[in-house]
Amino acid sequence: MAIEMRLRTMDLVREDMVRRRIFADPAIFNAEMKRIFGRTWVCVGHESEIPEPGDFKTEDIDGRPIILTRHVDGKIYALLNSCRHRGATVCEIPYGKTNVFRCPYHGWTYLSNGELISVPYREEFGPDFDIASFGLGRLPRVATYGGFLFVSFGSDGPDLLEHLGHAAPWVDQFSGRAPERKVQATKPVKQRYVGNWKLQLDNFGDNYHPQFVHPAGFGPRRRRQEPNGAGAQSSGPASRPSDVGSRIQRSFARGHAMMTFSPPRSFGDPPKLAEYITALSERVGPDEARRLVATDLHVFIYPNLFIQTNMNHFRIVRPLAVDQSEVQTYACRLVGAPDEYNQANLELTAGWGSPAGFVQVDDLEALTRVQRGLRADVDQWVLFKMGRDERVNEDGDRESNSMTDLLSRGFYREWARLMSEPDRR
Amino acid sequence: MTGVLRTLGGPALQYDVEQFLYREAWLVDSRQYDEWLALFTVDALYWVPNGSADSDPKERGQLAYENLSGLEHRVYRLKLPGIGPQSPPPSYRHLVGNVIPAWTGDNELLVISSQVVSFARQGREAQYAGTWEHLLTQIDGRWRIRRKKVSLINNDQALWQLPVL
Repeated sequence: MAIEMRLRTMDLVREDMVRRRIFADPAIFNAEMKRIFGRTWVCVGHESEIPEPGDFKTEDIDGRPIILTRHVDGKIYALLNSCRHRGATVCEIPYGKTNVFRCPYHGWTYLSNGELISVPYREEFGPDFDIASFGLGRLPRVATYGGFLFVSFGSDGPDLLEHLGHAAPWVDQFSGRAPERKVQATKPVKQRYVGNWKLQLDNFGDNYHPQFVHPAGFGPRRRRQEPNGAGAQSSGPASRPSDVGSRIQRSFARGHAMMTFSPPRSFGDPPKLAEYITALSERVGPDEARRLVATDLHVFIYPNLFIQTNMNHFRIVRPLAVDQSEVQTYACRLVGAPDEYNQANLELTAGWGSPAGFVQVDDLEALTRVQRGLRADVDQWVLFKMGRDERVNEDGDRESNSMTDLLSRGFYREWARLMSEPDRR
Repeated sequence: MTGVLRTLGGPALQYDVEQFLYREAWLVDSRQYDEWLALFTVDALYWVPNGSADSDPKERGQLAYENLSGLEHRVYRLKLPGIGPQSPPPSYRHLVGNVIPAWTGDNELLVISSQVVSFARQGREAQYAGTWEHLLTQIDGRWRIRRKKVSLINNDQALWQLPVL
């Protein structure tokens, strides 16, 4: 296969730089869809989006329509959204609740676990027609961790927990910040850009750009609504030795990563912050509550999930074409935190992620320029050379406390690993 | 005062309101953002729903949902030299039509219009259409915007960077 030869011979990824071509070549994009999005675990949202039996949401991975359902057995199913008869989608609604999916073309009807239960004029299909063998296709694997919902088109490979590896405890911190240890995802704000999906990952992991790309800052100052003034300041001292210092970045196996800012970059205190910390303290104690609130944790789950605790949200990157991508921004409510606190975060997060907003539009503009500019010479390199203090820590993970491209270097190690595994058929 | 206002109706009201919407659109299209900002009341709400026209801001993040200080920040960004999405700035033109005013209070007029915004930047062109709702009030004899809600017909899709609507 042509792409096989090219991937092997073209010298696309080195330790601290990658060939520009990997952002611009449609053949490489098609190979990524098979070997990355068609094989590894891909995040498709949060289980709190479909909490009750009958709840569903529809998604699309590499143009393949899927339905995520909560069946009456309480389990989540990832179904191919395509009638087994002629292939029509059986559902075109982004979110909903239903007992059955009925194909609009000839009325074939499926349960929310994909089982086919009704075929009009069934006798016309003859006595050998076995309705039980024509359920909706199921993705080979679906699993959740920390509430995040993942699917895989690959039937083998590591299970989700093994896949997450050292990143798993950091994912736990997302819901760990909620007084009731649960988050409720809201429906996303979506934005599209002219650029390759990997550019957004690099942008998430890049601490070099904000002062240049975001000269207007991160949004309007929040109105203080605390009756007694400031409430608790989100700048308490870090209580774990590993959190001392303004910044920690770690790159884990399989491309995942974490990064913390402590104290967090301030966007102004949200209303009812003191009440939120009090509620969280009841479960975890005041020191841990302050530590959690005083740490802005970013977690990256390769290839498409980005979690940010400072505003309790996560983002999902969707590749649409080699130069077209979408970012979905999901604000989450911390269950047990005051409504006003959650509402302020919801509004601020939407402002960040909206195509009419005030933060991500800046980033996506930069990415659009990269996409345009790197075509000037696709055989040139994109540089990821920053990081003077990279070391391997006691857990065997690469770590840095300075401005670094450590995270992107990890993304491309995983990219090269996945892309060099031949297709299995 | 209020009695006088409510006597305004028919072609005179229609003309007055249409002129106001044309002027607002022109202020945006010609980047006179401070003058545009001055059209809003201090308790104004600027709202661009996300997902559907009846999207609930308590349930879901909106494309825009901001008070006057949010709008001031928007204008501050628009005027900041060198900021990415404004360098070079996009061009856009609002086309205002189907204007239907209805009194909803003594000094409160709801104006529904259909608008189409053509957008061009760096060779990329787009059109945005939708229903514009202005809740207008008169202060010192001039119309002011107390609430502006712009429901795009494709607000359920992932959109590129939006113009000022």
